[in-house]
Amino acid sequence: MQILSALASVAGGLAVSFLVYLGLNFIVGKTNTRWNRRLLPYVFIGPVLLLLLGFLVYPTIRTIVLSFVDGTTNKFNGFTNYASLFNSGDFLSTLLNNFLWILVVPAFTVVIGLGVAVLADRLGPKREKTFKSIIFFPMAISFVAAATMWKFMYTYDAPGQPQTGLLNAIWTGLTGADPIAWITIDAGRLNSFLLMIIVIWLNAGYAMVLLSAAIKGVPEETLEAARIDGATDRQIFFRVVAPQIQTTIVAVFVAVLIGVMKIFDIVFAMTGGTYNTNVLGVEFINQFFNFNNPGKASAVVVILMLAVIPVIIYQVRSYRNQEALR
Amino acid sequence: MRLRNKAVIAAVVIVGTSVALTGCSSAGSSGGAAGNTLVKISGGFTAAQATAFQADLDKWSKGKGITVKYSGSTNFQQSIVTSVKAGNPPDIAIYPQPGVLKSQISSMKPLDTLGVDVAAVTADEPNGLGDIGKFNGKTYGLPYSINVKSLVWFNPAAFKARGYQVPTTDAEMVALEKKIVSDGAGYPWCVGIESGAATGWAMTDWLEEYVLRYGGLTNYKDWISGKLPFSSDLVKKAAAKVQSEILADGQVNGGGKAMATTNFGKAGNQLFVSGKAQGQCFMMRQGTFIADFFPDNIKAEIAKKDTTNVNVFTLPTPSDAKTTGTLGGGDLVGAFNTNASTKKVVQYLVGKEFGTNGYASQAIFLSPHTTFDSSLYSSPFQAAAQKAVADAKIFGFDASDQMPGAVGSGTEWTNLTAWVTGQKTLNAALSDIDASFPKQ
Repeated sequence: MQILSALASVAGGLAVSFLVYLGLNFIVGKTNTRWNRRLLPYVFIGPVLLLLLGFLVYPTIRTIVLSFVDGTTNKFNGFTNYASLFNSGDFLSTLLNNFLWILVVPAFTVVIGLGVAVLADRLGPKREKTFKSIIFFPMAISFVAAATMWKFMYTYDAPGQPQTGLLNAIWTGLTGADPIAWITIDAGRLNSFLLMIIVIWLNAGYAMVLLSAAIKGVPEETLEAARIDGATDRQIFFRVVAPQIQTTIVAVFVAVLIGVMKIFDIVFAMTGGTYNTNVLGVEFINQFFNFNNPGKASAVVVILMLAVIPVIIYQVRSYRNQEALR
Repeated sequence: MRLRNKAVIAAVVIVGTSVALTGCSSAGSSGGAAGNTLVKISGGFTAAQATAFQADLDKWSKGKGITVKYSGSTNFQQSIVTSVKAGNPPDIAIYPQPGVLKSQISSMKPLDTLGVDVAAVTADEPNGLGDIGKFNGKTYGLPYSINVKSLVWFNPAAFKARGYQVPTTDAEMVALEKKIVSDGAGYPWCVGIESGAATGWAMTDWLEEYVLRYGGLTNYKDWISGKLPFSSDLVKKAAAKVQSEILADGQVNGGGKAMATTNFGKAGNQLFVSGKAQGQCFMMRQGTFIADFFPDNIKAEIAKKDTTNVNVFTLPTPSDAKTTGTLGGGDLVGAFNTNASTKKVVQYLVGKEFGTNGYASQAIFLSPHTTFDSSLYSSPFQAAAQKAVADAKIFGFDASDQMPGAVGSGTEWTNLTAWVTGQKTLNAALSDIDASFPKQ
């Protein structure tokens, strides 16, 4: 019954939107050719723009407004939400964690992806394919599934119990010492780094594929010219290949960076933000759903948004430069 | 080329819009059996418990012209907050935490208006249960099932092998712990407070046990409302007791860091191993529900009412405490609808009759009514818990569940966890909790 009604809704929705476009197209078709040419793009882009306004721009504005509202009384309270966030040591610690994520994950992802791409390029085509497939494989795993898998890496079992965590099994096997609760160690933010490894592992394949394609796109002549001039392998890579794939490196870096700024799933599934591993995404969920405090939750989102905007501007700019070069 | 591009764009646009449009039209109504009114219940329990709950209500509603449909979600809190904010609440919701219920009373119907005689219903319930869901003089929630947390689980066979006696006073318990350590038999306590995103809740229970006993009911309530801060002498005294019980060296296998990463459900497994090398522990303080988490062979014994390998005693009260007490919690029934069918279902759920249609066989169920026929229970611990509730002078409803969510299911969890792992000192953790307490 439910499936039938779902199918009916899908079919109905499709028919209605098709009719809307058909009707608009028909109306525009009635006008003369000059107007026709002017109006036609808007007929097709207009509904999408409306949806974008309704589902992206409006919620954004509403979130900003809500961030200045008290969660319980629904009255404006100025910057109180922000002030109470920045006065809490736990929130500052959350910001520091986010900052570390941004600093570490994109850089390592690109370096590892690039390293694999360069080295794989030197293997025969068959082995290259095999190794690249293996490294690309984690991309197919969702973040939550990956978190579940990596829980088995870091799992702690009390001393004397069979160690089901891989890291602890190795540790106790090699040293004979008591198992260590890895995920609780926040000295030097070790636990946050343990979580970052997962995201690097997931994203390295993505970086590798794009960078590998870019490396293969480097014209052979430039490499030959460099060889004839007596350049070493290192010089060829840094002086000839790297400048030519720079735009791809930036694109990959920024894509991973934006993903990492919004990081949520891994932390939520692995620690729920406890043991000092909290990040903004998890803090938002906690404030909104668990603490029932939409005001503070919106403030968290606005802070995150403000942090992401410069990166997006940079990405758009570098994309434009890249287009201009073509 | 041009044309084809246009066609592709058009197709993408059409599909995109239609997906958005269909999203709005899918909220159709699906009726139950012919002529019956449908009463929708949302709650946080799933799987076997949900099936049994549905079965009980199906049996009860037969011939009454009502179809009850229960849908459980492990993410109940998120889903109820979302559905109420969206103006699409169920008819009845079952809240594991009063704090969430409190945040939604503006959309709820007081139970008094649903024909529930609150005084009569709560007459045979432990003190205070009728007040948990009472706000602005109206009752918005009453429990359909409660749980008792002040139980210490132990392994009678292991006690017998070592010649240990079940302690009846706090002094005896402390002496027993010393003996367990000096004998090298193992560790006195099993504690696990890991619970995914909710890590730390098990710690709040430990603290509440002793705040309730050292402070009495009035102080306990002041603590919940924020009048008595976490950094007060009373809470510090309770925390010191918790510290000496489970955080001192040798009390728990692996210490605080182990507690913080051991799942609350798995912690009890060490009751059933033997020898310190295997991490044997002798006692675990946990609620009635934990019986569901024991190893399969133990669960099979429990099902046969066999208590050779697991049994409970009530957590003793320290001699310098103000009062004896039982700590517990409960699932509150709240209503969003006042139609006749919803009224009937609510009256059944909160009344003494609930459970008699089969749900009492669920080990997790404990009727809030102390006069409930305990022979209907299937596990030996349900009857024991009912007796503990009836005997205790005061019943302390889980404090963290009543505090504002930002504290009771937020900073209290994280800060107590930080204290347990040694990431924060006790004083720092307590004052950080105070700082996060929303100002009224």
